[in-house]
Amino acid sequence: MTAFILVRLVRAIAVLVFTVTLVFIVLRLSGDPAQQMLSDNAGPEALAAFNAKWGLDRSIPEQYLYYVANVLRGDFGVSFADGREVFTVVGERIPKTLIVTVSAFIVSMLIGIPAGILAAMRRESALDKGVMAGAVLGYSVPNFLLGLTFIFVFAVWLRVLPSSGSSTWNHAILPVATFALFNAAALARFMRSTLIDVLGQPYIAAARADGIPRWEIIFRHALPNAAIPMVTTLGFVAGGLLGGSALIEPVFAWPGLGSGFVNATNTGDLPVVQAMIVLFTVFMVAINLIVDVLYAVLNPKIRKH
Amino acid sequence: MSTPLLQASGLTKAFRHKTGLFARPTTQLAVNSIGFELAVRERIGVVGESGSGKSTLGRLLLGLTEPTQGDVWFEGINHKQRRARDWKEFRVRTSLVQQNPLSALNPQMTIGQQVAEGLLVHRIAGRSGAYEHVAAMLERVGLSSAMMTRYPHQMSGGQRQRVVIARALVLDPRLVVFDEAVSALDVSVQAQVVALLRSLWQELDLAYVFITHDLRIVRHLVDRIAVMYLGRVVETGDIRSVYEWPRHPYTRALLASVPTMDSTVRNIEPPIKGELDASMVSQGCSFRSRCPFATDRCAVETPELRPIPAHGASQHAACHRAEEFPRSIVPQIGMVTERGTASREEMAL
Repeated sequence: MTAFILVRLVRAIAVLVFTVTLVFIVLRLSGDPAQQMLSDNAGPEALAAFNAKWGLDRSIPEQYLYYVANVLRGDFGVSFADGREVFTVVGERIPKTLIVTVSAFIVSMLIGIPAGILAAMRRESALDKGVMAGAVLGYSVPNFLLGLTFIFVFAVWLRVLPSSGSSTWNHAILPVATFALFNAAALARFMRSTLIDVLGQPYIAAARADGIPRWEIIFRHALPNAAIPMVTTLGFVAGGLLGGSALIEPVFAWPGLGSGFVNATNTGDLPVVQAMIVLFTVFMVAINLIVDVLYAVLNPKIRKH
Repeated sequence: MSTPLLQASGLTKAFRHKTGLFARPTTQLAVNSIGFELAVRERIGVVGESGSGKSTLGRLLLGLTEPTQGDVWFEGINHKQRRARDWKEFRVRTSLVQQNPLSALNPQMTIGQQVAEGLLVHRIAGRSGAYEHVAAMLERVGLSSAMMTRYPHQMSGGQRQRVVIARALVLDPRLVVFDEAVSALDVSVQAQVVALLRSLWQELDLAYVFITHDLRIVRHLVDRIAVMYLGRVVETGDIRSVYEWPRHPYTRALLASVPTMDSTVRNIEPPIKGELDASMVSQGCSFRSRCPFATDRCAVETPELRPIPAHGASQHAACHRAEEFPRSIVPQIGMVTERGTASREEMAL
């Protein structure tokens, strides 16, 4: 078990290093930040001065080594846009994004998992069909469109919730609801199909033949076995929430990492974009590591090795 | 006559499936009006190829599937009249052993937990008593009680099937349904498990319904046999008389197709061709499309399961021409034991 986790940890670090390197190179090769930051009619001297100021006139390997050395010291550089420390610019957005994504994650589990379980237990019933119809609808509508619909209904029409900003808890409701509904739909569908699959296993028939009560079959036999594929899906959903924040946050003008990333990309704020990609990678790698560890905890075949 | 342990009458299970979005659903009878009785401590073998409905029959008998029509009685009580408490009682007194022991065991629970579960759920024993009981049961089926802490993936196929048998017997049932219980095992392990099932039957107050496609195995395990074809019983009777003088062409072909080690026996039975053809069920004999002896009558008149006088009351066959088939053209089936093929004398029941 310890060896298993150590191997995964080393692999996670390798993924991180690889991604940072790749992103660094790709960002340098795609577009000229000087041209993007400065106005279109900036002269060649201005461009050269900009590149010299930020070290962009040096070769890519040289820039890379400087960057890595600085990052390891905790220095992510300063924003091209306003000269503030990237660490601060990005850092103040992290809690905003975590509030929305973590709440959405919890809410989507609280809705999606029980809905999927009930649908699987009452297969082909009206309840099942209702849940699945809702899930297909929730899953098919693009989440930014769902967000716009929510703004229209709750902010414009009913005027009960604010449409943009992050100053009060009420501001978080619509972004969280948008995220949660979309992911609850995905979770309900997957929970249902996984549980139906497990319920068809011979050990469930054996438990029924032994007169094990229905709820005990669900909780002791079926759900622990359904949990293994479920954890993988939860990992995907958690990753999708972070990626989705770039779509959802701008809709609600929520000042998190997602909208920050979109802004930085539009303005060509290279240090900020770079730091955010590193941060996203860290999150993703961490989620995968957690999934792997949970997988080992849940599966006796790995646990007992 | 005392009440039979298990009784079924007119038992029918229809499955509807749709072949396409706009296609009309077709109905297939997996089990087609089957009736039979099983006495206390009796052992019956249900044989047939895959698709014959034998597994569905097993599930119907155990009340794991609702019949479309017909009744099942266990110890005189009709399944349809059972209330929650009667079902609990029934579940304690019956058990199921399935084909693949790896998938029949919960991969997330230890052997001890799984075998003890029924005892704990039905409050037959307290926690410590249950585990003592489990240890004794594991030893009875030939496993060490130290296996209790293992998980299914840490055992061999034969050990797993012994665990499944221990779990089936730990509640001290009166009836066990074996659904292809040894088919997935290696031949040498099969012989050990068959020997175990024979000795358990001798010691315990048990009746067996043994569902299998393997005619060599039932030969040594059951008193009576029922041969199924497309949801119907086409022949039934004492195992000896059926094996010695099969009266239905399907039984004859099945017995003839069993490989034998005895080179003095020549197989002269014409082989059956083709596959199960469910379209044959509606009218006439459903076996006629594959039967080398089919006549015009077989296409029109459905043969009923009827007693064959030469065998007293014991043997029944559903064939218009049952009386025409000669005796003893079928090779006697040897069984692979732990030492190799047993001689015919050794195999006599």
